Amino acid sequence: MSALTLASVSRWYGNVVAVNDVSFEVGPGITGLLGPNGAGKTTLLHMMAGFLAPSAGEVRLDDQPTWRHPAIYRQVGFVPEREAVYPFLTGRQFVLASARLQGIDDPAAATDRAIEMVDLRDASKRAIGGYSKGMRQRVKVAASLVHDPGVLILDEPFNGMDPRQRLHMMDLLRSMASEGRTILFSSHILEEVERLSDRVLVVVAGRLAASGDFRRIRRLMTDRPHRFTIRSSDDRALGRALLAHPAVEAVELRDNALSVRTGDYGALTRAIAVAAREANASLLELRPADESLESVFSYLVRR
Amino acid sequence: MIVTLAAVTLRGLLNRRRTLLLVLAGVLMVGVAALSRLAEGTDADALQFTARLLADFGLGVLLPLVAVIVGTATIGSELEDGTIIYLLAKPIPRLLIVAVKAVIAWLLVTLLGSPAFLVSGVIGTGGDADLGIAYAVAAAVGALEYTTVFLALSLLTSRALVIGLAYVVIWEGVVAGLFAGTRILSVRQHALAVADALAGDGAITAELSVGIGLAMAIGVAALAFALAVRRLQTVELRGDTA
Amino acid sequence: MQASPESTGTIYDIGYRGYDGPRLGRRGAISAILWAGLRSIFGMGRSARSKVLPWGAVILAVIPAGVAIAIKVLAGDIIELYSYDDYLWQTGALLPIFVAAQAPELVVNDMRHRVLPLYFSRPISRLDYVLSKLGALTLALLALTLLPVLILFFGRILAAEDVLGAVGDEIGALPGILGNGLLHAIVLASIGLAICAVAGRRAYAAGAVLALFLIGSVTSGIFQEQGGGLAGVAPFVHPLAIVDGAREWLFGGAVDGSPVASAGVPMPLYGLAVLVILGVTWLVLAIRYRSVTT
Repeated sequence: MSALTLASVSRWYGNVVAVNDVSFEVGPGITGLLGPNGAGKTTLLHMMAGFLAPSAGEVRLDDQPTWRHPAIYRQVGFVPEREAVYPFLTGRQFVLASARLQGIDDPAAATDRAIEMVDLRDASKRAIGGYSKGMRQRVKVAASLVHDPGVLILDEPFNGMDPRQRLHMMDLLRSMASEGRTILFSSHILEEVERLSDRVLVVVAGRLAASGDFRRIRRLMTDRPHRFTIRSSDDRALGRALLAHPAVEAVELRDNALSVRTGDYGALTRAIAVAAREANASLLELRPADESLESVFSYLVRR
Repeated sequence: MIVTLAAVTLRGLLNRRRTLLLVLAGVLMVGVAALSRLAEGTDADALQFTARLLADFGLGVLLPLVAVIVGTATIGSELEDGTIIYLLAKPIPRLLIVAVKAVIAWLLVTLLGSPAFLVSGVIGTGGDADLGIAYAVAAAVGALEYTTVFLALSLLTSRALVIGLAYVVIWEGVVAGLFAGTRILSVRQHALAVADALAGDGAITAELSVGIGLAMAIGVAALAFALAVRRLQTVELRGDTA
Repeated sequence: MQASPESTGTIYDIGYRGYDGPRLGRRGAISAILWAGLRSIFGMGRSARSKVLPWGAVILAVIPAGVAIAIKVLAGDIIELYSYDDYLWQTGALLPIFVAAQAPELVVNDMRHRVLPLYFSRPISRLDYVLSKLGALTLALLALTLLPVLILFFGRILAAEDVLGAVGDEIGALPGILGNGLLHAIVLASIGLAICAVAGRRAYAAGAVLALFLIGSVTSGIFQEQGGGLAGVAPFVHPLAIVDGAREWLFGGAVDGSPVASAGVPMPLYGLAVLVILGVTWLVLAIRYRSVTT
């Protein structure tokens, strides 16, 4: 069980504050670090991986500070965002070198395993200099998990991957997480984080804006109106009935469906059934229209 | 582990452009020595010329140039493109990383440089190997000092190549020639002291005694090494895409 | 912009407009690049740190002239510190350092950041671009090769007791001063620019320039000392010595310490060598800038 802990961590460069008083704990499972470009994700990840010293606060892996403790790399695998990898080595040589430098027994077998996991067997004999972006990402991931680490930190790992590769990588990460590993990855693409992570950390302008299950985060923001999409047998009548209810702020007939905006999520759910009976309409579909991470995210950014 | 480190470093250093430059440097010196055979003159003249060639051109220009190129690239190129992270993300003591890289850099410069000195010495003097051997050893000593200093420099600044070259041009070229007191800090003088001791009645008399020269060389190299290790232990990788 | 129900609303067209007025054309483009290059060389519009080296070099180049004039004022004609001919030979070390420091930025940045297609989609030809960059570097170098010697020249005249007589004495040296300064500037600018245009990065370009002049200077020193046949080759491995030889051929006046003196080689050879240098470097530039996508 490996836990990464950040306690009041800040990092500044002269006058620019890249990370501003961030505290959280990352445990087993997949945690997604979400934020726009320049939010401080890479800075955070580099501090967690021991490549950057916090200007204030502490970053610990279990009970060890990560800064200036090379021993942590026995348990930690890191996939950097920067593309450059030794171009003169073949994929296999690179992963093998990583295995050897980690000092594990039987580096050759571990290399084969790692290359299989990222589905790079065919290209592993070619020099990395000739790899596509997606292949390079995969070889970086292979090198980072060749020593079977308990903690895996990935900075924008899906950059440059085509959909098939992305799905494959997501499956890989999920299976690793199910073995009890701690996996932390960053992304500015909401869909990726939404699909993959159990937990989300939202970072905006260096501050931790939200953490936890994203659906629950969304619900916490009750000051923002919720939207629902309803399809029924008689949208217009239903809409009229709903508009009479005080909890409903706006009703819109759009795309063959009813779009309802409300400030009181609970009241609306109760009102819908009543309104449907009143309007003699059968409900066909009731869907929250903005539960996605996209809306959560854009709301946080605008705040 | 050490073998892997060494192999990766060596392969990174020997890309096409760098290898070409290194070979060119050696060929250049041998070429000039061969050219000198065309000139008329006595054997004593040839001896003096060759000694001068090896001291001024070899130790003063070619060796530092090669050492700058190799020394700054050993860690510098990895720092620049960010691939250093693959070495640092391993449970390896930073001292070991610097040690292996320093040794590889020194070996590369020496194995390419010393034979060039030897061959030039033999050709230039028309068969007498003493001078060549003396300077080959001196080159190894100078290489040790130069490569460690430039290695440390590349950890201190991203402009190590230019600064190293400026040092060679300004310090070794101009200042050390002008002010006698600064000679003790001149890498070339350290190496020259060793050459003088080995060559016996060579045509060049060094400004420093061999004891001081050797001590300074080893001392400076050790200092640079320690500095490099300290820097690698505290280097911060920001992960900028640049 | 909300129009209230009472007022009449208009929507104004404030979008993009073409420009139909007079254009500066080719000359404007050339002079723009030239001045921009000159400003960049001397660090104008940038931090103080980028001004240190170029202005420092100019100051260092001028100081000996100042010292010589001061001595002349104080001690009269007893000591002549420098002649016009050997001034540039003495301060010669500054020139390659200046070129190595400032020339790379002039040329390499445009290539590295793929800005060249932007340049050449304007009414400016490859030739214009190269000429303006060359012009900028040459003009900048004149501050090192011409300015100090002119200061010495005017200083000598003004410090003399008989100013008008001094004018008569010194005026004969003026063509030599101008020619020498120009020659040095053009040759060094051409060499520097050619190396920078070929190098991949600024550091390599600077290194290559320094290496060339360092190797040249040391080698020519060794050859010169050796005497005999090698002394004849000595000047031709060092660009600054070649220029010195051409100066001597065109304007006369030998310089102590320059390998030209001990070479014993017919003077026109130096002129030929200069032409060869210019030809080769300009050819390199022409070839390099034929392809614009780096």
